[in-house]
Formats: sequence, structure tokens, C-alpha cells
Amino acid sequence: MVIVACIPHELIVEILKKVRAKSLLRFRCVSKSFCSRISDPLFIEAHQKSCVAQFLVGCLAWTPKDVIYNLGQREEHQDLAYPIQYLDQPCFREFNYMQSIGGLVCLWNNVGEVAICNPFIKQHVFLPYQQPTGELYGIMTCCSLCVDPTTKKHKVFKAHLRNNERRYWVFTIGVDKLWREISGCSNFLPSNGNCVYIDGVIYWVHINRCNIAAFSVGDEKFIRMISFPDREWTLRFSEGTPRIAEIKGQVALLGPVYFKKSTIALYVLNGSGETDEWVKHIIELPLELPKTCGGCLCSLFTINPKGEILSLPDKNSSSLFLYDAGRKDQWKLVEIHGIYERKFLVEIQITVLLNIVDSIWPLRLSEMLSVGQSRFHRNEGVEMDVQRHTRMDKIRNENIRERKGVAPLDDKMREARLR
Amino acid sequence: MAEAASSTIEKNNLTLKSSYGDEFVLEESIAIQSVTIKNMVEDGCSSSVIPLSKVDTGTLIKVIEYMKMHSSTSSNEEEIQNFDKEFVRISIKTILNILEAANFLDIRSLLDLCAEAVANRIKNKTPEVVRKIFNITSDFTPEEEAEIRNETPWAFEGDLDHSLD
Repeated sequence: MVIVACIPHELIVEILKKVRAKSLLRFRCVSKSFCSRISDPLFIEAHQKSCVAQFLVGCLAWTPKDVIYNLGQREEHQDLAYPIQYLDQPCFREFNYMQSIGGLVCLWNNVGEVAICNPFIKQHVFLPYQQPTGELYGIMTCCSLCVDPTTKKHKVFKAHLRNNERRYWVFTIGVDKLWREISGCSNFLPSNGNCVYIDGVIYWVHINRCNIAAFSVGDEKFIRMISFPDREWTLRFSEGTPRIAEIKGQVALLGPVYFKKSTIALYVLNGSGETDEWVKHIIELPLELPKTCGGCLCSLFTINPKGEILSLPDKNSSSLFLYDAGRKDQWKLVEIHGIYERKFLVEIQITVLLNIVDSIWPLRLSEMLSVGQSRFHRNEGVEMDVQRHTRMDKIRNENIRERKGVAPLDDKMREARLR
Repeated sequence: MAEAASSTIEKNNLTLKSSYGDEFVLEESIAIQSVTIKNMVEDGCSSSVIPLSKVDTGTLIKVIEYMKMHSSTSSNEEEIQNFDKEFVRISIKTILNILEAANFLDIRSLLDLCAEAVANRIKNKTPEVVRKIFNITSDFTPEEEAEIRNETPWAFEGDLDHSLD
């Protein structure tokens, strides 16, 4: 029998901060004080910082699969696969874009369906669905998950784009019941997935233009436009678009150097507001990297939260190259483990490299459940073969429900309310 | 001559006294990894023996072993990593004692190492075992506990470790 004298509370917190979410869920039933400590927002925030699991979703163009790698190297991979498996559920199959901030994952698609998910504690919600007016064809939706710097609430920013129509919406998770439309965004066209969130501001790369828009999350408005570095990336091939990222709290752009296949350029924005300037770094690529990647090189790169550039030589490789832009060392070869393979059912897969960095325990159960009017997802309770119809088939929810004999939405909602 | 030499050595040495009354002589440069001891030295208490009434002899020996390894300039990063790994291959009870000592002595890196080690050891354990390890009696009613279990049944599945160590 092990008897240990009572450990001071602050030390128990130090230990719990380093325990993974799944175990924390179990330890909630140790005692009331354990339970309240684990549910404390301050604890959750501290825990996120000390418990980071890092994944890389890599796929090369034109293959029907993603490979998910564990970059955290803290634990055995089998155990780490469950959050990824959770994201691969049938109900998320039509969500082809993914982004992760502050422990939550935002999934969305071009039609404007948005799901927020914490795969580590296996919870998700579908945000209220806004039926776009008119044809679904040609519509594009860009989303970004962010954290309000003062309230610490998660918000989702959403842009609907079609031809000349642009509308922008914000949804605060755990607070809002409906999307709130915001105005004053002028003519801004965010490019999907190419954005970064730093200290309360989202920075988006503009589609087909050489600038970046900065959106303040707290004030919910656009604050400024930042031009690309002089004469850089003026020709816009789709593969040549630089990727935006964060390096030590600064905005950075990583992209190809035209006509020089063995190098990439990294620009870091120094200063803020009126006085900022781009600082250029030219980075020689490791010789082992296949030169055939050519122009689409930068799609193989991503920057992790430590400010290191990651490069995945190819899908079947079990190693990646790591470059610390701050220290300017040589490229380091790092062993990685593929932990999961995901077949994606969407036809057009734009994402090539995605760096999902997940901390855990971001939202309490009560907050998750308080999201109102979650749209009943079309596939809920409906068998798999319905999924042959993609969103573009424009089959109305009601029709599918009728055909498969699932209760109409109204009935379901009434039923839920009566419970 | 010999006397002068020994007095200079003494100047740089500190004597730490455990709760059992055992005394350990340690170089000041090593001991000041502990912020608590550093503050005492700066306040001028270094001439006398430093009593550590909260740290028993066995724990103090481990803490000194840790501080010696981490202050030595000859050891490289890899050696220190291996040392840390071996260092926590002891019973949870002993790690918790060291954790408390590290907290009292204010040695951040040791505190982190021990907290991480305990976290790794308890991650697959059942709530019942965690209660025993931390000497906690549950104040939940069986119904309340069942409710928490039912919220996330999957977290209670799989290979759970029932051992106490």
C-alpha cells in the first residue's frame, strides 16, 4: 500500500497539466476537487500550453489519401491516432478544409457548412447552416478559427464569395446562436487556408493580389492591408503562391524563388503598423529533396509554431526536413511516424500540407452544448450510400430525409426540445 | 598555507542539513540552482548550516545528485537526457517526495521533470488507483460518479493500469 502524505494543491496541478486529455476526463471522477480543478478555465489554458500534440497532414496532389504524421514524439502512436480517427468520421466527409487553433479544429466546405470539433475529447458541433441564396455552383467559403484576445472565446470568421458578391460573418462559440454579419470589409477576397492567426489578428493572403489583409478579432473589423515584399511573387501561378505563417510572433511569407529551383525565400515582417518592413532570407534547399517538385515546391512546406520550416520530401517517406529560420542552421533530418491514413472523398483537394497543432481541453462540455441551433447534419442517421450525392448535386435535406425515412428536421428539433 | 587554502574552499561550500539531521557539503555554485538557497546565500546565511526541515536524507541525496549532474560542464545534452530518464526510474512515492522538495527548494527544471514523470506514470491508471496514490477519499456519491463516467465512457475503456506503482 502506497501512502503518500497529502501533496499540496499546486503540485497536483503541475502534474495534471502534463496529463493528456483522455486521462483527465477519467480523473474527473477521482474527487470533487479534482473535477473542479480540471474544469477550471485557467487550468485549461495552462494545460494547453504544456500539452501540445502536433500532427502533420500530408498528401501529394492527385492521390486519394492523406497521411497523418505525429510530430509530437511524446507517446506511442496508436494512442495518438484517436483524435485523427475522430476527424475521419462519416459526418465530416464533406468537409474538405481544416484548420486548428487553441485546441479546436474547424472543418468547413465551400457551401458554407462549418463544424467545430475537439477531437481530443471527442466532441463536435455543427454551426448553424446558412443556405446561400441562388445557385450553389461557384460559391466559395473561407473560414478561420480564432480566439478573442480579451474574452478568450473562440470565434469563427467566415467569408462567402461568389462572383461579385462577398459577405462576411462571425460566430462566437458558446455565445452566439446565429452568425452575425459584419460590414466594412470592402472588396476583400481571402484565399482558403492561407491565413495565420497571431495575437488577436488574422492575416489573410488575398486571392490573386499581392497583399495581405489584417482582421482584428476583438473589434471584428479589418484594420489594414499589408503589401507583399517589393516585386516578389507578382506573377501568380497557383503553385507559386507564398504561404503565410508565423515566425516568433511575426508574419512571415514562404514561397518559391522564380527560376531557382533549389532555393526558397522567406520574408519576415518586422515592426508593426506604419513602420514595418520585410526582411528577406534566402534558404538553400537540402540536396536530398527531389528537384522534380519544381515550381510547386512551396506547397511542400509548412512552418510549425516553433518557427521551424518543415518539408516533407514525399508521401512515402518516413522522415522530414526541418529548418530553424532563427538559428539558420543546416536542414535537419527528422524521423516521423505515419499514424493514420485518411481517404478523402472530395474530388478537389486543395490542401497539400497542413500542420494541425492541437492542445487539449479547450472547451468545457457546457460551452459545447450551449451552441444553439446546431444544424442536424444531412448524414445523421442516414446510411452511407446517400453520400454518393455530393453537395453539388443540390439535393435538399428534406428530400433525403424523406427518401431514407428519417424524421423531418422539425420533428427532430421538437423532440429534442421536449426532452 | 594549508589553512588558507582550506578556508577559500570553505567559502565556496555550503552545508545542507536534512530533516534527519544529516549534513551534506556542496559547492555554492551547484547549490544555487535552487532559488531558495540562492536567496539565502544572497541574504548572507551562507556561513552557517542551511537547515532543510522539509527534506529527508534520501530525497536530499537524490536532489544533490540531480544538481551536480545539471551543473557539470563536462556533460553534454545527450548525457543529461539519459540521466534524467534514469533519474525518474524510481517509485512514484519517491518522485513525489522529490517533487515536493523541488517545489520547496524552487528548482524549476527538477519540478518539471518530476511532474512529467508522475504524469507519465499515472496516465493509464484508474481513478481508484489515483486516489490511493494521492491519498484522496472520493467525495462523490456513486450516482455522481456514474454520471461523470457516462459522459465520456470511452475514456474509461482500454487497457487501464490497476497497479499502484
